[in-house]
Amino acid sequence: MTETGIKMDKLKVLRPKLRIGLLALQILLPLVGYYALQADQLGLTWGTSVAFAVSMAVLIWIG
Amino acid sequence: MQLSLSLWNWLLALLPVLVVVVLMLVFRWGGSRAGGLGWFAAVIVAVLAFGAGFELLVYAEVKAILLSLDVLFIIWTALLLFNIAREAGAIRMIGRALPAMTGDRVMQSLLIGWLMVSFLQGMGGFGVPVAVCAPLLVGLGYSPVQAVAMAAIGHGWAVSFGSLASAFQTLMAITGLPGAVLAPFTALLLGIACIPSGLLVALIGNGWKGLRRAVGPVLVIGLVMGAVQYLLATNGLWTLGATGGGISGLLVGLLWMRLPKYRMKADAGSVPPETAEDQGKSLWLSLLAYGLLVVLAFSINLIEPVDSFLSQVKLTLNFPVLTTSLGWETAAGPGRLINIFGHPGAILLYTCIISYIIYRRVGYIQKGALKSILGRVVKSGVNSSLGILAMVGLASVMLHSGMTYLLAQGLSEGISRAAYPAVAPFIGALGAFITGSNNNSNVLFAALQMNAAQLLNLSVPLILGAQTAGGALGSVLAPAKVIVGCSTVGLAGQEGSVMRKLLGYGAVTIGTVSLAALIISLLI
Repeated sequence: MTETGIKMDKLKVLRPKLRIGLLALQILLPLVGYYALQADQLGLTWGTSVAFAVSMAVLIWIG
Repeated sequence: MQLSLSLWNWLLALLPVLVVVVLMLVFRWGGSRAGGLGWFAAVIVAVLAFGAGFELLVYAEVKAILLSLDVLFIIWTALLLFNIAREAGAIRMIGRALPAMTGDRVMQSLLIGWLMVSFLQGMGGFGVPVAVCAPLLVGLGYSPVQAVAMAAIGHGWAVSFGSLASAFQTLMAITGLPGAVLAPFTALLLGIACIPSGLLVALIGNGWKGLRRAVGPVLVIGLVMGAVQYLLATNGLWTLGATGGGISGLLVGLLWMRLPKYRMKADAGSVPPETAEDQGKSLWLSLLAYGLLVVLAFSINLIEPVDSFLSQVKLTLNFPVLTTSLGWETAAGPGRLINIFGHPGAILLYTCIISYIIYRRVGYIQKGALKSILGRVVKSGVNSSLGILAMVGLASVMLHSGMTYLLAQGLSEGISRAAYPAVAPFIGALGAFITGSNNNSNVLFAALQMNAAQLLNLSVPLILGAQTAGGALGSVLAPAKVIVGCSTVGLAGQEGSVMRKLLGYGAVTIGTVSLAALIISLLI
């Protein structure tokens, strides 16, 4: 089996767990961002927003 | 610089919707992937062309989370209820009982795919009818794609007055018009849509031959359901419109199956054999979960002291005024209010807990089965939840940056007075397609439709009736709802195939309302 094939197999096994993690992140990150914004913590708000966008990109990637 | 309508702006506002539709229909992507890319498209267009700032985007996403949680509460508990009932043997038992009651496949499909879904829409909300009935149709031998399409198309006519008429209540709140003014045209248009909905269910499940056989029962039962809904809605009982229509439809449907022509005995091969694990089980006891759901939903929603007691804890977040650099403003106020203990999801959860305890006591569910039940729920629930989060996020960005408003404005300004009544249902359907909800479509477009009707000197109640009827029929085609249906029949990730099938049928039901609104506008 090629290296790419092994990687794809690993991804297939990991996908369900990744999806559960993504679901938790996509619910929690905006809520953390809300409270950070209310408390004028702009750095934290930006951090959660970037992490949210990355989680969305991962979701598109893993399908 | 301000938000102004031009062809270029209109096309840009349409882009996120096009991205989702093309990815799902042409490239057959699943809802979560297509919704994710659509969300990126919406954010980029909102920032570059509609003046959305960082703060607006953050708050729009948080509002989307609240809306999504409201919906996900129902989806997860509906999935749990279904898997508990399945473990107790309910689905297999219905699969055997229905063909035994009548061997007529057309009547079987109408009973579940048209009448039962409509009744459940009266009581339940977002996605519950499809989540509950699509697996039952699969149990009757229909393919998963057929099952989701039948259950979705079958209940569209019951959406505005379903879920205790929440979408209709929103229409009243947004326009400031009383229910007595809005109900007649709304109920009339939805009653008309009820007939093609039933015929399409027969067509999807049984082909053209089935459609011909369904004409008689669909006309009679459809007239009864439409009339009961009309009478309830126009007499101040709009909260019970779809429930009353659904119950009367089920009763007439069961009577219709007693007619000699439709009572035909099942072929020996069409009744699935009893499995060893179902031996000695009672059909009625195995259906207890659904009976209990009906009793609890009615009790909690209709008995005022119970409703008030359970409605004491509500979850929401407050939001400031949100303004784009182009001047599009969203008023300050709370986000979606989640009534924790009186929520439809909570009612489903109570049903799950009580049913599970009873099924365990009578031995219908074996010890240790809970783990496999929860495993199946998580497997289906995670996929659909990710899709819904992405789609609702996309809709929220579009709404708060003025893109959705611009889409509707373009449609209404480019259309003549004579043609507007025919287009109004499609505007309602567009809003529901984007947001996944008749309620949200009314939030987005009711004021716009009312202004357009006044400017064009058209009947305001007729145009608003067409708006909410189109929203009702369009909501069942929305990716967010299709994802729910697909998750319960093992089609997660294949939502595109179902949507391809659904869009054509949806065009027929919305087209029927469009034609009816046009004819009524010429007569009044």
